[in-house]
Amino acid sequence: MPEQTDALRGIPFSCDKLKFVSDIKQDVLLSDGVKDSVDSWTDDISDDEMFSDTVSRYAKSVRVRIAMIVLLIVVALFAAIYSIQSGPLCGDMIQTIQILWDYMLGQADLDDSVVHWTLYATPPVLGALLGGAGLAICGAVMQSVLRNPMADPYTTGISSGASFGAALAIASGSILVQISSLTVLLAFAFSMIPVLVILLISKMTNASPITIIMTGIGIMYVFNAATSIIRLVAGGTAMSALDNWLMGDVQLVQWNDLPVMAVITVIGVIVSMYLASRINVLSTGDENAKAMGINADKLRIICLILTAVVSAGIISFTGLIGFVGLVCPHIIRMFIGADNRYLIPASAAFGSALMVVAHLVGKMVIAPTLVPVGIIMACVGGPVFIWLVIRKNKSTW
Amino acid sequence: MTTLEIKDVDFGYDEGHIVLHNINLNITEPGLYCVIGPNGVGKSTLAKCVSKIVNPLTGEVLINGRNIKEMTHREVSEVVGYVPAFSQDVFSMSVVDTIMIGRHNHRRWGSRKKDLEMVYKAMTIMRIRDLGDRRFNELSAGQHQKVSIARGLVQETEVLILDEPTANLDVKFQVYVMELLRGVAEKLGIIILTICHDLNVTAKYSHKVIMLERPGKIFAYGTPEEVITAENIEKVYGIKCRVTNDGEHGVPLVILGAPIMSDEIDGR
Repeated sequence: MPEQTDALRGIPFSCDKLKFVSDIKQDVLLSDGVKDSVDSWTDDISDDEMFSDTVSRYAKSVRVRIAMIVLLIVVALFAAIYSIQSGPLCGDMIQTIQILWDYMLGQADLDDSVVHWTLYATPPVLGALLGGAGLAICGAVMQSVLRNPMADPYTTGISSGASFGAALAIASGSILVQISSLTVLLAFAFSMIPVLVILLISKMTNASPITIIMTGIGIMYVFNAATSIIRLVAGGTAMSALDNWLMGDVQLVQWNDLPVMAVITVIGVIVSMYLASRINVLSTGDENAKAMGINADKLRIICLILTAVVSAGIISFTGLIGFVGLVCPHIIRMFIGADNRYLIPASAAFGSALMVVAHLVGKMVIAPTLVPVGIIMACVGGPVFIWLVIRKNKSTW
Repeated sequence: MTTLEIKDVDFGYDEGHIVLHNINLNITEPGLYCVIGPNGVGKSTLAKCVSKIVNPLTGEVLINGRNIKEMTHREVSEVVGYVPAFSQDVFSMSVVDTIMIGRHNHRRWGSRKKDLEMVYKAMTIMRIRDLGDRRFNELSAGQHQKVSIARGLVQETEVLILDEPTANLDVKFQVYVMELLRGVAEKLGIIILTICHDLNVTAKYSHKVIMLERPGKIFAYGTPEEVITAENIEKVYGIKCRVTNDGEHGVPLVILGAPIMSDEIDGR
């Protein structure tokens, strides 16, 4: 074999054929088909019929997605108004809108019984509207930046941190009312602990998405155990108050809570929509994102802090509400795809609608007992979700 | 004219485990540059150093005379495009939207007609126009590869780096893609750096070849006929072979023989 090789080395190679030529027509190594392809790269195609067809189809797909977002917003608002007026002693929908409008302007007649009962029924519904939107965007953003379909405030430990904080506040006995500023404060403070731990660990190692989820799940177990200990130690009243909070219900939301919830949710939606295009790039992989000019680790940390603040802000007021954050983005992805520029607003609108409807159903199903939204959503949503997954799974994940 | 200079670059993922040793490379002309070498020799790592995905421990990478260490990711991405070896997309968008991500640096929140035009052209060139509305995850590995290459092309950068672009492609498209990259480099006057395992395709289409040997050193750099020789291949890969010329264009043609199992070349 070596002799053959040596013999063959005598054959001269025609080096000039391999040289760089700026006119590809002269490159003998390229076939005609490839030359045509390369030439088409600089062609003007604005008059090309098939291109115009592509443009109009793309424009149509964008219109469909925007229409879907608008439709979901309308459904959410309609359901909210319907839910408020379905309360006892309330007026019809038009009257409800009128009362809410007057109330915003500070002109509502608070002595009127219809006005009184309408305003009484409103905070939980608005809480559902805001909470649904906030939790759904958290799920959408977390799933995209961690590239994990299981990511949500639960699997990152944020919810467990919040429950531990709430448990601590409720069991400390100083407060026996269901919801209070101390519960909210501690729930929020403790929900930041998992975020800090995750940030610390990602600084020490590389902030890989799997590390983050694993850390989150580890923290979740620790906090859940700590919460169980508090339940064991706490007495009867505190325990039932704690159970109420852990079940999670928008019924806990008061008028005073709404401004904070609104500010947090609106900031969350705006910032995440502003970052949506970058999140799209990040969702294609860290290496790809860095090569496209995104500082992947930094963006993921920003997104995690944002979602932690939003989800903690909401959970602190409503108690633990699962399902929305995890499932809404998945259902929306099945219909409009994974592009975060549309996924985020659509998930927000869908989350709102879902939570408002779940709250409405919870009010009616075994009236006068109120069934918490979390339970309704899990009972009805779980099977529906599984059905959707089986039907459409291949193309979505 | 675009230039790419790699000066005394060392790189390691962990301390004590150095992947690249003292890499020096000076590319001053546009063209198709192929990186070849055995598995685990640091080809992908070299590609990542050039696109600032990882930072070298010592040494510097200069693009058009600017040290990329002092440039932001965004600034680097405006001159260097990168196509990873495999796609990590977990949630799938349509093929059009997936390629549109490559236009990230050229657009704001919405996509303009110009972006769509580049995407359409890239799909035409990669022969995937009929896949435009399909979800990315429905496609085969080879189709993924074509979409990824299209995503690299629409970035319109002066330097384009591709990590094994022909890995999952059938024979026709392996040749087509390499021809295309050569043609694009010549037509647009850009530097295309690609990692390739097929010595014959590399020999035929690359303007220059960079051959890496263990442990992460440049063994040879030059025209294909200078680098792709029987001695070099035997020394670097540990396989006997004959190198003749292809009889048509006079480019090297490698006929592989028996592998030589050696701890020194393969590791243990």
